[in-house]
Amino acid sequence: MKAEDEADDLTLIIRCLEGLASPEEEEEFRRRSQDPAFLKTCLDYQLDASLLPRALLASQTTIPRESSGLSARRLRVRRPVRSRSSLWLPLLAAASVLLAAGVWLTLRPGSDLPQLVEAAPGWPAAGRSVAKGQTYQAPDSRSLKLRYPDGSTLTLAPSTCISFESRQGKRLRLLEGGLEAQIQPQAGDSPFILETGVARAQVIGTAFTLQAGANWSELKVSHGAVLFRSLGGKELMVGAGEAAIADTQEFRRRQEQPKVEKLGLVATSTSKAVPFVFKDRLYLLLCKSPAGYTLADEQGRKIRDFPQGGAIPSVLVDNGLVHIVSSLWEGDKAHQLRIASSADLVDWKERNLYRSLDEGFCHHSITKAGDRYVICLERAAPNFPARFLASSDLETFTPMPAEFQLSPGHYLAPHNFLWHKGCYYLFWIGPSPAGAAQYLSRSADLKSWQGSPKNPILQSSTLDRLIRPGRHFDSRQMEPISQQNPFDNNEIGICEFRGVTRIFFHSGGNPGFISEARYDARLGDFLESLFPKP
Amino acid sequence: MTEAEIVNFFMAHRDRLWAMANLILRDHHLTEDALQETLLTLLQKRESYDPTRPLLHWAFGITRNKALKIVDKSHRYCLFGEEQLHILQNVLISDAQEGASPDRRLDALQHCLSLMSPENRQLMLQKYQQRASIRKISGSSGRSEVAVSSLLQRLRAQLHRCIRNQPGMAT
Repeated sequence: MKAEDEADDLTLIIRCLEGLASPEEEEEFRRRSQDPAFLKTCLDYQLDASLLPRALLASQTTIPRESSGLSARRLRVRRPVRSRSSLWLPLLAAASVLLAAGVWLTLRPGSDLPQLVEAAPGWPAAGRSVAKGQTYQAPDSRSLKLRYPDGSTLTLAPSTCISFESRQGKRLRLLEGGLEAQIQPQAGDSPFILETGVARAQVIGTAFTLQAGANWSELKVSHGAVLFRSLGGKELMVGAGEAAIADTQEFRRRQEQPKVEKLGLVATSTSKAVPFVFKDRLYLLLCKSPAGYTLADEQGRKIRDFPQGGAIPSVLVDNGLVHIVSSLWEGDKAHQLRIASSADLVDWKERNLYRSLDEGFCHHSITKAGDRYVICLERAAPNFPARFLASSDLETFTPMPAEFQLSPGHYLAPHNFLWHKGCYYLFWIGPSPAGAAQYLSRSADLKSWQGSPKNPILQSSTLDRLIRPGRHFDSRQMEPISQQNPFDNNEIGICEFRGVTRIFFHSGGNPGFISEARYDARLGDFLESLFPKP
Repeated sequence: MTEAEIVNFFMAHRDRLWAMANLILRDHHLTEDALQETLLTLLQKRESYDPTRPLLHWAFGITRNKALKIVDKSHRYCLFGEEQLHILQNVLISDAQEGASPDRRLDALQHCLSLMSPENRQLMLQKYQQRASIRKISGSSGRSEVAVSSLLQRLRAQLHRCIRNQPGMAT
């Protein structure tokens, strides 16, 4: 073939495979692709495309050779003397065996250390790589983002402690805390490996979160797949939407979480959002100050304030009326509940509902269970356990006997209470390595309780700080959010609207901010999915 | 086969599987999707895999089918007919069976990149490593989009010719 024909073929191949060709050129490409030699050139071009990212990355580390004064001619002369990869070729098979045994070897130093995106005390300056063998801790007050030269990123939760292993390769150890990772596809001979005290995650090129304490690890994969390996050598391939846990006792896949879609930030300077549906519209009660709350529409636009009506409301829609129950606080706890009822959200009738004669309470939540009304009170007592009030007419509430309670001996802080198909569902706050997370328990009789096998059912992430499309907040409103711990998850408000479960949850400190999520099915389905039948 | 064996096999042949999928899809992101789906299918079906069947054929077949499915779903079209895809797949499988190491090609590629000017190499880095759009590269380099696109085409052609001229790389 003439050189000009070859050049024409190559141009045609590049234009077509890069998506730049005209229909006529594509037609010519199809005609030429009957020729095996043309197909081979296509294949070579494509193989180069698959190798280019790695070659370019490696070429970054070789740039100093040129900048040190070596001409291209000298490089051409020098190269046959020593080719870094070809020298290692005989060792590749051995390296893969070592890899399988858990020992790490890489041929590409220099591309395996991340840099800080924003400066933080105790870390190398932004733009400078971390040092191997060093242990670093993220600040207590904010998360920290690291970027690798290949574009992979790690977002460390506040206070997370991590070390970059002294052996070569992208290998690091999560000592305590949590991280979110977005990992670019890695070369076959250099996987990305994260270790914890009890497990190892070998990353293929994907997005996931990994959290670890002294004796446990939890992995959640959002895209792609991660090979999770226990110290005892057990392995699990964890795919998208799956999770796995490892501790000193067990190593197992966690049941698939319901597919809750995070939508983003919807309210700033707000400590709680309580959604409800009335006359086919979604409304929100927003707690923006220690006393009082605001009634808002679905977009968060104010309809009216309840400045003196009590604080931290819960809501019940029943028989064409909206009932807002709120608490009157004295110091750091409440002793009294009030109720405001309306048939049109304009005229409200308020009255006292209940007065506590004992230690008082903090949060509360009301639900209708069959033909009676039940209120859950978060007792102002150590660990904030739950007790219950009942009423047959919504007029007079009386405390239920002491055996009707949830007092598990650890921090509980119940704050949302629902009834569905003969079961009470209670949302409470449980531990998360980087803060607090949402847990769920249920009971048929308010005496014996069952925790969801999928606990924690909801955890905050840095994604919750992204503004939901269509909402607008100025820099003054957003500034405190960037300073807050985004991993605390303290309150949840939930309702069903037009067949979809709408979830509003609080993150950050006080007042913090509200983010929204949705589950694309009815509320009952959501609750039942968290207690799967064996 | 264990999950680890499947993953190791997949990673060993990832470059060729990527080439197969990208020939069909001509889109980096869709190709990555196709490979992820291929891996998951390999893992899900590993217990029903008949060990008497060649593993490479099985993996390439899955990759091709996944890529063609994505072509349909995303309303794209493949430039190759069934017969051409069969030839391409067989060449890739033969290379893999003969143990032809992509590292030799990678080595040649690195060498040819080192011959480029730092500016041109930076352009290649932006386009093929950082996956920046032509518009973004145009903005950062001060060249027009047409100029960037033409230059990248020239550089790819130059790179291809350079690789072919390396010892042992002639087709």
